[in-house]
Amino acid sequence: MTGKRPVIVVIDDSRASITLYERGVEALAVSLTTFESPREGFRYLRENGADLVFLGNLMRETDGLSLLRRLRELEHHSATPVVVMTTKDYDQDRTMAKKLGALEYLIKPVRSQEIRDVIEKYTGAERRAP
Amino acid sequence: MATNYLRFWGVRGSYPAPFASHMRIGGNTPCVELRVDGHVLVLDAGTGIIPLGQALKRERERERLKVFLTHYHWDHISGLPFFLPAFTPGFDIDFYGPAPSAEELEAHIAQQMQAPYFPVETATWLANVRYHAFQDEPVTVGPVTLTTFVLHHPGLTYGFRIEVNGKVILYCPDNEILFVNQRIDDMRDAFDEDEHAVLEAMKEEQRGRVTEFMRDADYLIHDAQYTPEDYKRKRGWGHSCYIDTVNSAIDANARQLFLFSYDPEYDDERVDALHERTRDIIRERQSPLVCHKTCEGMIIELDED
Repeated sequence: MTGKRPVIVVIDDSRASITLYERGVEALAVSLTTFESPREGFRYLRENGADLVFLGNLMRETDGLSLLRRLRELEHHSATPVVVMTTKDYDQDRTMAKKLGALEYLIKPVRSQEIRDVIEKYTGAERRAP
Repeated sequence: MATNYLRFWGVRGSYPAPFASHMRIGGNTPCVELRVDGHVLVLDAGTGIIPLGQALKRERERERLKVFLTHYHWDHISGLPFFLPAFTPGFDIDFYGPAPSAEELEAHIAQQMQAPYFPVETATWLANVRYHAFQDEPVTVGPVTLTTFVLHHPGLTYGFRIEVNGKVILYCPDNEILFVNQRIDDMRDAFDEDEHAVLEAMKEEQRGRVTEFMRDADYLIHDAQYTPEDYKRKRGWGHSCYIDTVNSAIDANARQLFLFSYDPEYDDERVDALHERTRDIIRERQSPLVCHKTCEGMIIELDED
């Protein structure tokens, strides 16, 4: 994966969580786009692809799994790698996320190192040159 | 009886508790009736909807009902197989609930009555029944406006913000409000020193979210299921510790708090003690909040103040 930076999209209305994502990608050669509004995030994904999408599950406007269901209805996102990162540590949500094809279901708070590991695992992102 | 009121038909969380030791509080699962200018709105359809249905059938003047479901866990829908108005010609019932489509909402309600779980299916209902999946837009019923928001509970679970004649009613029967804050406290050592500030920001953010949705509520009906000791054992079950609930209500400047979804293991004396502790907290914090020991049959007149 040389030359092209993996595109990472985050939709999460938690500003503190976005900060953890920003720290998580600091050492990686990726393009990070974040949305605190699920509506705006969905609008972006309707028009654009992504190499990995992180979704919050409990947002003011909507829940992340409803958003993921709508995302899967878009042809170009039917198989996009998605990771859910949430405060909802519940089996019911975990099972539904899996049914909708989420690769991982992580419970907040997540260390920025863990975010980095997940991105590397699913996109093969390279480290930035020092 | 007053024209406009809230009436509690079921206040227990999780499962019915028809025990002699629990009868002062009541054993039915969630169901609250909101009556405004002759409109009948029903919040959740736990076993409390059974006596409500019997009362509505006797009354017969109110044949148009709107039933709003927060989610489909059994304690919130298990009264429907015994809800007499649904089996009675002439009644007109609209069901609202979280679902991608009206068809899926109908399926969620119908499945618990299919063989072999129940002898008659929803196809035998004789009322005129319609199903509506919640959309982004509010639902308006006469002077009542109902909007939904997402709660912290397994699956997609909504809370309701109901505005009526300048008053705000918040209905949040199942909501684990400070899960992440407790988890952060437990996990702090696993994080680097420079991440601690972010964790503090996350805790503050969560507290802010809770007070934001409760802000200035006139009537806050909220999950208060566990004592602190039980919450330690049952964190991640989707319910709140009552102390978090009362402190959040104070922070949010709510006017009246109705403790709700009591643990079915708690008898009347235990709920008395729990309520007494909330009054201590309110006194200690010198708050004007009024905290009710919500029990079955309680009626709150909306025109009083």
